[in-house]
Amino acid sequence: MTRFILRRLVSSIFVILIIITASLWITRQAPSNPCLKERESNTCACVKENSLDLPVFPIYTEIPISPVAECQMWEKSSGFELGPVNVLGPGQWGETQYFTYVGTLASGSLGQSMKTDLSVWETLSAGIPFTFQLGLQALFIALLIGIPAGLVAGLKQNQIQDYSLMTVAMLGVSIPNFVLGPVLIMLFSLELGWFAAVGWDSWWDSVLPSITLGLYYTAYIARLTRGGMLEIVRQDFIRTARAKGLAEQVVVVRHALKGALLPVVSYMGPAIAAMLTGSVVVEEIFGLPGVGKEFVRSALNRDYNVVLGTVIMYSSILVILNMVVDVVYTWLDPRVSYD
Amino acid sequence: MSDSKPEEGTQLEQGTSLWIDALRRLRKNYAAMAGAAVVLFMGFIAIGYEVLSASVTHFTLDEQHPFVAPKPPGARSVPIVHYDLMSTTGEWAFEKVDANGDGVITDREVQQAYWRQEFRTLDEDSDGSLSYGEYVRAPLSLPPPSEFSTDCNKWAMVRVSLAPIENQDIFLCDAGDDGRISFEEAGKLVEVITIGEARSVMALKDANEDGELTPQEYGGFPAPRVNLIGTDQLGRDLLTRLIYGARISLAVGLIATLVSFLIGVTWGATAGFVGGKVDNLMMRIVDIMYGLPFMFLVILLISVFQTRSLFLLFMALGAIQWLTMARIVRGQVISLKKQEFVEAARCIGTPSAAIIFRHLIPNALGPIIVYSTLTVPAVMLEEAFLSFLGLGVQAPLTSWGALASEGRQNMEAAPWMIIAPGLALAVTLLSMNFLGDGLRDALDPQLRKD
Amino acid sequence: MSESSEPLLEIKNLKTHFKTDEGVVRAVDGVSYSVRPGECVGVVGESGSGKSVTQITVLGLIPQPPGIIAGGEILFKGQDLLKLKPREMRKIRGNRISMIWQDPMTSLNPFLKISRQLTEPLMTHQGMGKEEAREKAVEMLTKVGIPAARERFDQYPHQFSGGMRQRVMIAMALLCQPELLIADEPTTALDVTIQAQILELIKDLREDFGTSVIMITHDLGVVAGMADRIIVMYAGRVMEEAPSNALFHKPSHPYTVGLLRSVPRLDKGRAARLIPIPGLPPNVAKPLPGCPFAARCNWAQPKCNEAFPEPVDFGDGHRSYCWRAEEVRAADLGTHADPGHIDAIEAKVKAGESIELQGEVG
Repeated sequence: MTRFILRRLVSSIFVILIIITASLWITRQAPSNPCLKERESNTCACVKENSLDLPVFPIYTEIPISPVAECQMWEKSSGFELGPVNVLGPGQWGETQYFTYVGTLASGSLGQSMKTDLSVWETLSAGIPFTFQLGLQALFIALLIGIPAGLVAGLKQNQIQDYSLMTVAMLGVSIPNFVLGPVLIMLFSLELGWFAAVGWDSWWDSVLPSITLGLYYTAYIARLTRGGMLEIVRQDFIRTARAKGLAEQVVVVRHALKGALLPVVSYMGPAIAAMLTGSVVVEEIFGLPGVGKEFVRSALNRDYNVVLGTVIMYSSILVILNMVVDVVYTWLDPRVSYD
Repeated sequence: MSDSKPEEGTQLEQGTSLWIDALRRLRKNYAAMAGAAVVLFMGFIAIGYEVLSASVTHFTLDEQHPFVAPKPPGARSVPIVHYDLMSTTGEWAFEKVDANGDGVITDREVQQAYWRQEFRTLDEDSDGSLSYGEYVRAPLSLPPPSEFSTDCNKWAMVRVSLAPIENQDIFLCDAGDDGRISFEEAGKLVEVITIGEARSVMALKDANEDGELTPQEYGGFPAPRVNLIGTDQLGRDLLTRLIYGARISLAVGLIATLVSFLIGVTWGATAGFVGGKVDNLMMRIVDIMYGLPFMFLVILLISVFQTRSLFLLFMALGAIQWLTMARIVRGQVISLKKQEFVEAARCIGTPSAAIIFRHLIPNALGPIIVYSTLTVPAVMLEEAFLSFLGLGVQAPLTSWGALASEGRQNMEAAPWMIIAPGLALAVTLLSMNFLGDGLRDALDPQLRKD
Repeated sequence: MSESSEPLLEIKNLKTHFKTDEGVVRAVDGVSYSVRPGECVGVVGESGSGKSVTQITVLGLIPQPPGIIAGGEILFKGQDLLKLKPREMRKIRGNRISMIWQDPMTSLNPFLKISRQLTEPLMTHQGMGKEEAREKAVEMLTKVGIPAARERFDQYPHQFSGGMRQRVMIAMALLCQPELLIADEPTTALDVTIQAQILELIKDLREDFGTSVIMITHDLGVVAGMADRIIVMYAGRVMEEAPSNALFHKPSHPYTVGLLRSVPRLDKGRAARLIPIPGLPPNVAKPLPGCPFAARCNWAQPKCNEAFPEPVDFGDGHRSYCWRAEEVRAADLGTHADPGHIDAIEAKVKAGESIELQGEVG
């Protein structure tokens, strides 16, 4: 068991390295690497370009800080503390640079934002509690509603409960959260005034975003659980359990449940990944100052260091969570060996 | 004895055709059939954008009919590309349009003529003034917002830019002493056309480009058309944009699925066919990639390559969707390659590639078709997600996700702007999911029985 | 085994149907037979003949829907099991009637330890405490021949071999000392050498516990040495029912004859030809008024397609459901018959001739 976990740990670190390399490589491919231009012409090209070339898209109404101020701020810090993009000179991209950046990461720093005088970590950390709470609550909703719904549907296959639950679940996996969110806001915030339409002042205000984020996964988990249950209840060993004269609830809870939930367990990894992605949109819609909102703003502003930092942070979290899920799965299913 | 034997024979033959059997089961699945119908309908709409734009909506993707706000469903605009000319008699006779009688029509007079026309349409009983009922039924009168106050002075200040509000007090603010609204008092209620649009309408006829129309040049103006589901914040017909959005959304869905299909089938078939260490390695890579936040890498990619080209979008979305496909194909190949007909093909010296593409893939087709059907909505959802964040399809193109994003900006003032694309997206995804599920049930009867 | 003793289980005209897309499948269509205390009854038939479905109906485990119990009675010690409430039925299942399933690989729950699965019935039916149940279960495991039972008690099923798993299944079935044990092809999924061991085990345990056994199988060889009586089923109906010896030596139904002739026999060497029954079992989704075997039967007459035969009773519990039962019996086609004799009879039957009756009947 320990060996199994250790081996997974090593491969996880390997995966994280691959992700870092891939995202650095992508960043490096930028056709107009702003900082290269900046170095070549010794002007503030990257800042100018960014401020002029803000996306026409009107989500972001914040006025960017003046190009000059930004340029000065940008100039004053130098060296790898800034992050990978800033420090690259022409022809400098190579293993030295790569190892410098990975070394920086290893020392726990994600570099410096290219647009503000905050470090990437400072930029992101403010949003982490919001994103974390949002994701956790959505996951909670998904498991708490999805699993029982799926069990009921699976046990009452082809009956009215099954049909109605699965129709709702089908709706759930088909309504995009960026449609659901605004509709919920229109209905419950603007029309009925139960929740704040924007922002997050109390726990109550987090209900709507959590539902918006969680609905898809609730529906998906309900479908998975139903499928798992149908798969299990037609197994021979369930018939054996019934033939022993066990009560139906004992058959379901003791004999069927564990096997039926295994697909849900293995879905947890992708689910958390998708939930982090989904939280980007939900934070956007509900105006929550989470990591996702910061991420999109940075992507639109081409603050590569923040984007890179977020990708690396999220990937690392996910790789570790996937490892945990794997270990839990192995622990749950006695048939899986530790190899 | 003799009467039962031939029956058994036919029974056996029927049983062998998996596809006919599956089709029969699919036909029985009403949800899947309805889904297929909707998907087909959306497909036709996407293909027929040009025709629909010319003959059904009468508006084009980009023509703007700006007004105070996004126009609600049922409002009218004057199409400038696909129009039918109105007759030049009655109210639209040259003399009537030329209100000041100086022998030429100016842009102001065109605008006034359209306004009068709109007023006549609103004035259902043709008594020359609008009652409160007619005022409320006018498409441009908006329901009052929740925090609305009914102070005539305040209203007078904002009315310049706002459509009238469906409110008795506001009605009385606007109405004359007689409690009815005359044409002069109607204000924004009838302003279906701006002065800029009026100039464009005139330019259609103005051969010498002097900004005035003589009786010789005048030959009727385009008839106003209803914006069936309203317009967006720039006054562009929403239905037209929705139809065009269908084209982009479906194209992204199909092409990205095709990309994922190609990668997935190649990867999975290779892994399954070669087997051994290669298989192990390839599938381990797939396992690892499963739990990664690909959308973040795509966003990074898009933010780095500032061109928001559709091609990049197809590739990026296709490249993150192939994992499950690879797994399915590998599983199918492994179970199939053990079978005798592959051995037979090997024995007669068929090359490996030929075995994969001619023998294995056609046999593994069922699950692949099912999964592809389910990939299309997944990809469409991702495209919409990116477009919603402003990282996907860019103007002048539009997609349902981009439309929903615009809709969210104007959610309070113009709920139809998010409801329409949201509904289109949800209905299409729902249909595709039902179809995919139905196909799966039809091709895998084991799941449905017992 | 005297005729007079009260039957332990009596199945009367049982009909179990399934609703499917293709129509109503008559899996069991009017089956009657009985099992006396301490008796071992073999039920033989091809796959799909309804032999397992009958037993699953006895246990009340037919999923409804799609299953329908269309008629009949199942009397267990005079009590109609079909009329019991689910709660009452649960007290019988696994306690007074228990079952050994076909495939030990899939019939044990892979997620639960053997200990859990074995103590479960004891704690449910006999109200034992955990420790007591464990003791009893280990004892039973030892009895069925699992070496180091105590050490292996807390392992998972996948850590046992196929034969060992079947032993665990048998132990599980016998834990509550049931009055009736139903074994559904208990050896089909096992290696041949293991098969013999398991059969021997069931035989021994049956003697130890005095349990009645219903042995379901498609293999006449399996029941030959075990069963007191054999019931031959085909397409949801009983074809012939006879004491073991009578069935092998005096088969009175063409289907039984066909079955006997398609079994390879070591004692006959190459001399005996194996003669398969031509054709396939009928589609039971369509109602058949006559004998379901008629379409494949050399002996068939027009009458066979019109009505299902009345049983012909030869005494000593030997009954055959065939219009020409007496002729078949008279033709003497049992296992000791000479192949030349059989060929001659075949030729006669094909020619449409009838067989002269020899000896006494009934």
